[in-house]
Amino acid sequence: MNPLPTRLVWLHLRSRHAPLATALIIAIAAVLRLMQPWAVGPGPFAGTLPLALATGAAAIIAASTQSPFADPEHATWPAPRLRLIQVAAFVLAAAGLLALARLGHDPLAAIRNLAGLTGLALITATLISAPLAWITPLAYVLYCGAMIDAQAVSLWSWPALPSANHTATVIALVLLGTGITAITRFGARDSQPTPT
Amino acid sequence: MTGLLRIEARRNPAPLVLPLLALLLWLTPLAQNTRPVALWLDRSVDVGASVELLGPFAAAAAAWTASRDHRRKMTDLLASTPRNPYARTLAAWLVSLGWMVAFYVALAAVYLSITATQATWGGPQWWPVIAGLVALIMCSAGGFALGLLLRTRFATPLAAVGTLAVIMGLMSMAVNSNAAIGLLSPLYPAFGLNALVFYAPQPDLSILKIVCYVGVLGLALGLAAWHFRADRPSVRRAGAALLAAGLAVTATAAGLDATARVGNHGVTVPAFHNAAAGHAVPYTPVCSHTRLPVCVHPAYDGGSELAVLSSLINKIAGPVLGVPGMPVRAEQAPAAPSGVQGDPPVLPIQPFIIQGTSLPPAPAESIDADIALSLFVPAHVDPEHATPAQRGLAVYLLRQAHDNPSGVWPLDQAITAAAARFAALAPAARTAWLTTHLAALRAGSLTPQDIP
Repeated sequence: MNPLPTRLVWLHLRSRHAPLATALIIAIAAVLRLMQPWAVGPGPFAGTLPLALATGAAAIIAASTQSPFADPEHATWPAPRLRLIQVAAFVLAAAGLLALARLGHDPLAAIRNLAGLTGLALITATLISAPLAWITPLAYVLYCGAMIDAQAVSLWSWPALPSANHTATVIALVLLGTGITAITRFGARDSQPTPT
Repeated sequence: MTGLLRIEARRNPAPLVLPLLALLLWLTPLAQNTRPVALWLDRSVDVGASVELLGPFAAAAAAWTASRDHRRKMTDLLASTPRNPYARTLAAWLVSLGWMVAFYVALAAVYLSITATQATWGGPQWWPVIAGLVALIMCSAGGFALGLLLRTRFATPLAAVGTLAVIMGLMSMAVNSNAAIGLLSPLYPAFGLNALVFYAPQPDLSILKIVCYVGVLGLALGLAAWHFRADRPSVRRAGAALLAAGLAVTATAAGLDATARVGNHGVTVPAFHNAAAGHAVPYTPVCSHTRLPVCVHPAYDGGSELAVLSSLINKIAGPVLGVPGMPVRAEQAPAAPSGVQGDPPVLPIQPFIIQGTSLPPAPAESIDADIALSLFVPAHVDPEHATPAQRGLAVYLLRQAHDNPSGVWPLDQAITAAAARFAALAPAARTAWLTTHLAALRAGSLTPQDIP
């Protein structure tokens, strides 16, 4: 397999608004750090706030997969590899930033939640469309918040579990793996007809 | 304009998320909270708090609608049409908002109709419902402004997640840091839930929230108008006026928020407070016919609250009933839990809602512990401040009732040993010891080692 030219990778990232997406993920991590005093401890609000911000990062990663070229891009041979590079780079960068923001307060859970929620968002981007990929993780986080509130946290609301729970980690990794595989193989579904 | 609204109603994406919202509402505690006991104020606050679910989606739908022309690359084409672009975009937003408001109104109608069939006291309280509605409109307007100003593919997810983060962040500030700004979160209950039915509700915080949300609404619509300032001078003037008014109203609300005080009956805002209206509401309690009669406010006389509560209290307090100084009645009181008080002695019980035939496990431990400790701490003293000897006897009562004593905290070996020794005594010996030593025990002059 031939290596991809750096310029091609850069052009692909630019077409996906990578600089703006990176800036927004940095901003989300900064907000998470600033809100740290109110994002730790018991209770549904402190528990849901970091999940909401992780959803923001996941939604931005998924929204960035929208192709400006629609169908014509599907006919090009390096597109799957470019998509894989893009998503993997974003996930790694976001995981690092969110873990940094949560230092001292279970950063592994932040990484796990970002991974799982990004997986959900990427699956949604493949099935529905990239700009609407936020719907599933947001709805799921609202459900998790309700479970925290009802003190009924279980594997159905795995993002609310501590990082020591290995089953929750496996669920998150499976979701991420499925999402990355789907987006790499098929790309985000076009919500608009091919531009003419 | 009517034709435009009709076209928008057909094209708007908001109805597509309504089934998802219905599913979310069904999965969350709001739907689980539809069994008796039904308190009007509690249910009204629940309706207002549904903004937690509806707000992010309303903001996202509005942002999606606002960015539609840009997304579809129609901006230049539409600029050639004669209609005022702000009015055209506003019409699209109004339809998006209309769907969300219709959903909220339907939710309120269903939820409060269910309440009407279950409530045994009082009537609907509209202030929290109205505050929730204005909060929903504000969320939608915020998303609309963001969608217009931030013309990128990220505007919609940012509007949704940002709305949820602001709502949660403000609420967490209020709960964890007592920050005054947190009172403005749509989730912060406008009334003291412990005093729901005992005092006339004070709408101070609801009014303050509505003022604040109207201010933010003005700011959002002003920013949206400012976006079209180059198109028409009238839009520029309207945008400037809305921005100025929104800023003034929001600043006023922030100033009033700084004067708010959180009390047992709810939040008091001096500018809106009517001291004469916050009076105690007279009522005739409903009592159980058990060995220790348990009396509740008639509002709690629905479902199985009285039966569960009287069974629980009698099970815990049973071995000490009849001892001089022990209660002859337990009665709900709108205050924090405290020791037995009055003559004849009455055990005050903090109001809480029991749905179904038993308490949920997590609060049950704490409630059981409060009941057991309240029998031994002095009047007007919080059970949290119980001495080790008082905790020892509370542990004994919980164990004999087969309840988990982990709600009595902190526990050490001396306390559990005292509980075990006391349990080993004959019933007559226990009663005799308590009759002699109850006053000293409540005064805090005994240690666990003094318990036989």
